[in-house]
Amino acid sequence: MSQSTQEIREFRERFARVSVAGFLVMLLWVELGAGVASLLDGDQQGWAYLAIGIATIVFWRSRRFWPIVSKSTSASFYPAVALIANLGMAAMFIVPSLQYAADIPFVFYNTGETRTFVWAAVTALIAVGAFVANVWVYIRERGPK
Amino acid sequence: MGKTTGQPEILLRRACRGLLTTGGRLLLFLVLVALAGCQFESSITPIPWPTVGSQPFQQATLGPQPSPVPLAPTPLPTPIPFLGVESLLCGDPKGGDNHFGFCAILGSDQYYTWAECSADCPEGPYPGVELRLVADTSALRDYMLIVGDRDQAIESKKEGIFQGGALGLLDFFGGVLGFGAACGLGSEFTFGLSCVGWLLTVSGGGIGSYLGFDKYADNNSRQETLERSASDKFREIP
Repeated sequence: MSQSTQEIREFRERFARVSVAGFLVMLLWVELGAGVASLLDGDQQGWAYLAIGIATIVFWRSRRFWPIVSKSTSASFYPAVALIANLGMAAMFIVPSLQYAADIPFVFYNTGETRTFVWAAVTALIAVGAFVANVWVYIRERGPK
Repeated sequence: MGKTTGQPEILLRRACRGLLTTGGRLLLFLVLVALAGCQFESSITPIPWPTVGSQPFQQATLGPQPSPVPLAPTPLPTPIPFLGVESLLCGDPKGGDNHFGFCAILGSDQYYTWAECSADCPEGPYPGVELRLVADTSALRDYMLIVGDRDQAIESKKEGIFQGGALGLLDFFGGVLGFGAACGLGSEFTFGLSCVGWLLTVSGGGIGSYLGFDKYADNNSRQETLERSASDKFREIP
């Protein structure tokens, strides 16, 4: 009984590490990428995105990060929430990426459009990758041993 | 009795060695000259001799021609990507991108205008784009306004996707990973001040993200409408 509880706790920790890593990579890419791309396009909102990105890095490196995050990741329903969130993030970026991709190769003749397309497409790829990684960890850890 | 080497033999051997060395140097020199010759580039510009074009009566005076020898297909010229203003010598005013645009021709009162081909593209250096040289008319002014509005729609579209994406991801991140700390879980669940704050923040982020993506979608359809108008107006320019 206690061994089973231990296994469940280990599974939750592993799943939490993988899913939080996916969220962090995606968030950092989106905020820092949007910040740089907006500033290059002359949009001053880019500073706000850069500030969010830097704040995310500071929060992630702080000692309070895991105690706060683990309160959510220890929930039994957390894997379902994380997977749904991953799908939502992927959907948010796949549609605009496909709209830009439909304009290939002409999208690459315009620097601003190329930046937006690369930003959206890479985010969509990270979201899909994070979803696949989460599913893989879930199946591997929960499968018969 | 051991064989002794005589003076003439030594001299002959030295001469042969010297010959071999000289031959080797000569061979090396020839190889270098040959290699240099391969990389030779004429520094004199060839004179373009004017030639007379084919005369119309030539075919008539000649007798039956032998069947043409099949030639290897000549490679098609590589299409030049059109970059908009950057591909042309432009002055102000200028606007648009590689799909639709205009610019004044430097040192002239005429304008370059270009637009995506709606059907078959006429012969031109850039694939998919029709480039025209036009005078300043009211139709051109209308076209410039439409292109300007389209540029604005593209900028707003980009702002919308960045806003929607950045706020949306932050919202997902905060929503999924913050609810446990803000509201507690299971028997520890409390709908306290921190939980209300979390709910308001997540809702605010969600609304901001929705507005961003809505701005993107609105301007995307506006861009399409303006492109149809620009295409029609481009054909109206005399």
